[in-house]
Amino acid sequence: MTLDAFVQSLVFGVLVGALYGLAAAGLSLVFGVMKVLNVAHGELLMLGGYGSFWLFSLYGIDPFVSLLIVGPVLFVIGVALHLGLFSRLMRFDEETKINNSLLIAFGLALVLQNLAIRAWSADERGINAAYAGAVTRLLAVNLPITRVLSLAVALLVILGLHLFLTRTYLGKGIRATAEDWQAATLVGIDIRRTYLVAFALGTALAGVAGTLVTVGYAVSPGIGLEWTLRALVVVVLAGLGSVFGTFLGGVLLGVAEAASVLFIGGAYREVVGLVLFVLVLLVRPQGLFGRSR
Amino acid sequence: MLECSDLDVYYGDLQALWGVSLAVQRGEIVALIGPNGAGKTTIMRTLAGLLFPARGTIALDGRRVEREAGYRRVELGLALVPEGRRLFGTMTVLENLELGAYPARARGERRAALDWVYGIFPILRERRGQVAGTLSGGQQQMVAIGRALMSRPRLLLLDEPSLGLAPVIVEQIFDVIRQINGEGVTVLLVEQNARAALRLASRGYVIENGRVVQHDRADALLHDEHVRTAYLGAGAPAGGRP
Repeated sequence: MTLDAFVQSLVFGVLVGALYGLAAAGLSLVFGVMKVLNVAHGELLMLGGYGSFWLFSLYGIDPFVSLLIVGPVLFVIGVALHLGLFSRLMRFDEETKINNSLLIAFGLALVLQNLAIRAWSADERGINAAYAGAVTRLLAVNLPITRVLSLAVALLVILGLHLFLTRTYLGKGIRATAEDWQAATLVGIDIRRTYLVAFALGTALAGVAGTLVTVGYAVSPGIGLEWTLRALVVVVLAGLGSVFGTFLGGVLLGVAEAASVLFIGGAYREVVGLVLFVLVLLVRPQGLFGRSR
Repeated sequence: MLECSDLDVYYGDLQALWGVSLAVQRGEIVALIGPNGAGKTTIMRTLAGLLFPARGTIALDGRRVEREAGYRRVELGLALVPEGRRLFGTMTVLENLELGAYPARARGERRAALDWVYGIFPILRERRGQVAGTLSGGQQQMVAIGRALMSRPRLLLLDEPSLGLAPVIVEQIFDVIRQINGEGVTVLLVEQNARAALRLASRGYVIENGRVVQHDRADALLHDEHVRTAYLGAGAPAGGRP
């Protein structure tokens, strides 16, 4: 193996890892604030992917431009799902909440998968924009344009999320609710609205990630579980409480997967994430960048 | 200013309060005293909207609020400093205080409110960049009170503000309560330290087994036979040290 191949492989790891980080940021937000594990997160990501696939193939809208539509639309879908399915769980104690949310989200995942097969067939779909195959070379490393752009978008979205959570009253209210919902109520925060915004925002983040997945790779009705698992691994890896930590956790997983393909073989790519998952839980249960409680 | 009557409150199937009625007039300091587990904290949490009564009413300035969500009551001018302080431990002192001004009514005045709180607790200005969870217990209690004051409450509920604090800090906290009250904030206080609470308050309620068993002027309670034996230490002269 040459050094070039090694570096190339790590770069691909970083590029895909940025998407893991973005997908995990949404899951982490919902879990941190609502203490609800949305196992349909990957299916929401898939919906976002098909959204921009549709916008591209029906109307010729550039996938990076379609983010401006897919994000808000998924936000609205998130509002509807929260009001229809998840909001009524929020008054239960933590254990009932997490058990029932798992059941509901699992059902939702199945429904969305089957709807997707009906709407778009089980085939893999991609977006072949004019620049889809374009590659720039930087110091003997190939950089596919779409994936580099995706990395830039992911970074921007993560930065925006960070600023929202740390600089705005609503964002601070979300963090306060995540930390202690009773104390949040006592300072005058309407936590039901906080839950709604957090869930809708998490859904929008999944949608944006889905678009980037579709433009750089491909989308099919079955990709949901794989992405939910990856996002979950990243959330455990990174811990709760830091947006950049989650993003970095995603990049770390991407690089670890790439390295495993290089050194062990492609068959173990998904296993690496799960091994990391178990290792982190054993050694540092609060996550690499999480705050211990 | 605050009037609640016949409150029954349950934790699941377990009844915690039986027909609790109490009233706080504008400008007063009122103390709730009683043993551990009597329901004092339950009363406070019900008034603040963290628990909802099965029966009974709560009126704030004549307006019924027993079904209003907790955050609405903050908007209406009620603030609770909860037992155990419940700070946002990973956030800084300043972030905690700013969150205290979350209601729309308070947000616009938060600079003035912040100056007011820093005037009351000068140490918080020095520590404003420090993560709240790393402060000493006394300073955390100051942040908790300061956070509640940031919403510019007209009625301040304090649940065990002296719990776990050194005597000199306790004295300081009680002085602050007197000062805040002097500036026009009505206070309802739950305290283990019954003697200190009754010296501060104008009236007091004795809570036992989820019921109000006695209520009177504070100086009358200080000399009451039952209160003295049960809560002030049997036989100790009413003028002794707390």
